[in-house]
Amino acid sequence: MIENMGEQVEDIINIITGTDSTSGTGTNTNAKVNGQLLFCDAKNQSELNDFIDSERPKLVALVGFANYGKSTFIGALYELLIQNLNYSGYSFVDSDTYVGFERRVFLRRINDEDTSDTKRNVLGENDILNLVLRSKEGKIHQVILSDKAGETYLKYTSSDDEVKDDRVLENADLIVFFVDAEVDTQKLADHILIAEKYEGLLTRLKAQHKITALTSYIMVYTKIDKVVSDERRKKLADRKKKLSAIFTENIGKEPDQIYEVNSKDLNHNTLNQVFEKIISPLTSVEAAKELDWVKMEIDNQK
Amino acid sequence: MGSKQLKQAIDKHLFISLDDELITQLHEVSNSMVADLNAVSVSDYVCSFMQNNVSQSFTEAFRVKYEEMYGDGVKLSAIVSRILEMYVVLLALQSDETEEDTKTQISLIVRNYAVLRKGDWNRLLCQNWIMEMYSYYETYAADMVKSSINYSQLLDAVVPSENWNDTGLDITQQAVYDQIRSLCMAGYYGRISGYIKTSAFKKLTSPFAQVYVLVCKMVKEWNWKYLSLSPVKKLVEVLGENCKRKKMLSNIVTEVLDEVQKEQLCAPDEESSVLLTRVYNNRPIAIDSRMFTALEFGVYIYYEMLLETFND
Repeated sequence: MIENMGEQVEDIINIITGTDSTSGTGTNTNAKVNGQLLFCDAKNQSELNDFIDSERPKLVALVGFANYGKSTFIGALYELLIQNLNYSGYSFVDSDTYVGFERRVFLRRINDEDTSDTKRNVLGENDILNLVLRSKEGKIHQVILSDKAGETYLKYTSSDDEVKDDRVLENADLIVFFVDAEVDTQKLADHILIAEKYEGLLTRLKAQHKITALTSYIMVYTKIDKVVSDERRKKLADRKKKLSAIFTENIGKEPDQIYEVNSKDLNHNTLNQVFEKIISPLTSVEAAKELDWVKMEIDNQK
Repeated sequence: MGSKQLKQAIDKHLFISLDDELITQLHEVSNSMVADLNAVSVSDYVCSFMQNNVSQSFTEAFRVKYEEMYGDGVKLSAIVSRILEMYVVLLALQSDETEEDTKTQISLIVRNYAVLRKGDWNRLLCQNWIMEMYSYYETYAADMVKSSINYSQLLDAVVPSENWNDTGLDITQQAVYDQIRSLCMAGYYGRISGYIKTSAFKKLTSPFAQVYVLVCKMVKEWNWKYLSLSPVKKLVEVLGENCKRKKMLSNIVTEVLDEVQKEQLCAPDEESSVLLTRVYNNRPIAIDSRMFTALEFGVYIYYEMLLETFND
């Protein structure tokens, strides 16, 4: 029995770390249900409606190609939320996708470029994570994050069919586009490759009406700690302008903001600004004043 | 209108739209539930809806109907079920089969339960439907209010005369009847003026206790619904500046219970009489910390009492 338990624990560790590419098959007791590897794992986009309780939650799509730092970024957000009782005015209350977050925290720790997105893609991992947060005033709100493997977006650049089935981007309240600042400031060819991949992606998204001029989006340059020399800083400033022009042309509006972050430094000021933008609740639409019928009757009669 | 209004309401709140065939099925099932609705089930559905819940009895009734009509079960998210529980009530109000009195009662139930959302309207689902539901009472009440007071011709004829024949008035004429009725209405007004001068009323120091007692009498003894569409003007006239006094509901209840005798309290029968029940039972409820002015409190309990006496 103890041996069996040991095997099960090993199975779970393998699944969480993404080191077992055979998981979800054969005799594994954690067989996939709706793409979920474990209870409380990330969910599938087809389950988006299940997150809606009394109001539609805020939906944030994290978009970027493999190794652009999405998992490190989201792992940092999760760590900050569980480490701080009050983070940027909000307390972390609950999540239906703890395992999905834990896996990303793990990947953030090992940060091995060969394991992150590639392994997640091999596993066909789900992308939907949720955070239930409470404001200082005691109001509860929910934020849903979509963290697809970077390879998914690479497929989008070459296939309309792949893009067509995406339900996240067209519904997103905020899209965060990631750019690897370290790679973008290397050779010109590296920058051109990034620009081409994004141009391909944005063209497809626009053609399929997944993004419009009404889309709210930001650009986040990750691994900024690797861009130190003056030469690379200059390159970054220059190339940032060129890439944001591509976004502006395809989406039909400029990004709301462009950030430079170091996701490994939890005290990084800009990183915390981006997180605050992501976890803040949607501005609620003002209710019709006629709903308060007593107030209306009093006003009318007076 | 068919299922269009349902589709719009559901699509607005979901990330992924339901397919049209399912929407049509949900509409048909909802429509078939209208005939079985009664005041108790409406109360149950509206109460759950206003508290961001789905009524268990609705879920069960909907499941049974759906299986009867389409064989298989259907799995619906909580928000869709909440929209449907209100949709069934809306369909009842929009149906030509529903009697006017029933529509009025439903409208009053919705108004009464709306107190549960006081100060928290932004997150309320299907806001357009709720406003439409409110309006059915006004349509009905406008017909209830009788002509304005004008009886001088009647006084001039009756006061100098010794008997009816001397007046020269023809009792069978509608114009004469209308004047007699308006004289009676003036009698109601007189009762209110007289009551607020009594020591029984004057000894009440809390405006919340005053408004509670006054509203009880306006509804139960003075048939205010025939005199005016709204109690607001009269309450403002009686309470003066005190109608702006504001307190937390729990403190309002304490004040009312301190000054109003138990036998004077209205023992509510209607589930939707949220504030009357709060006062009568003196048990805390979720909205105890919400603030009410004396006038708001008075208007809410006026409509609760109207529904209490609706079938009298």
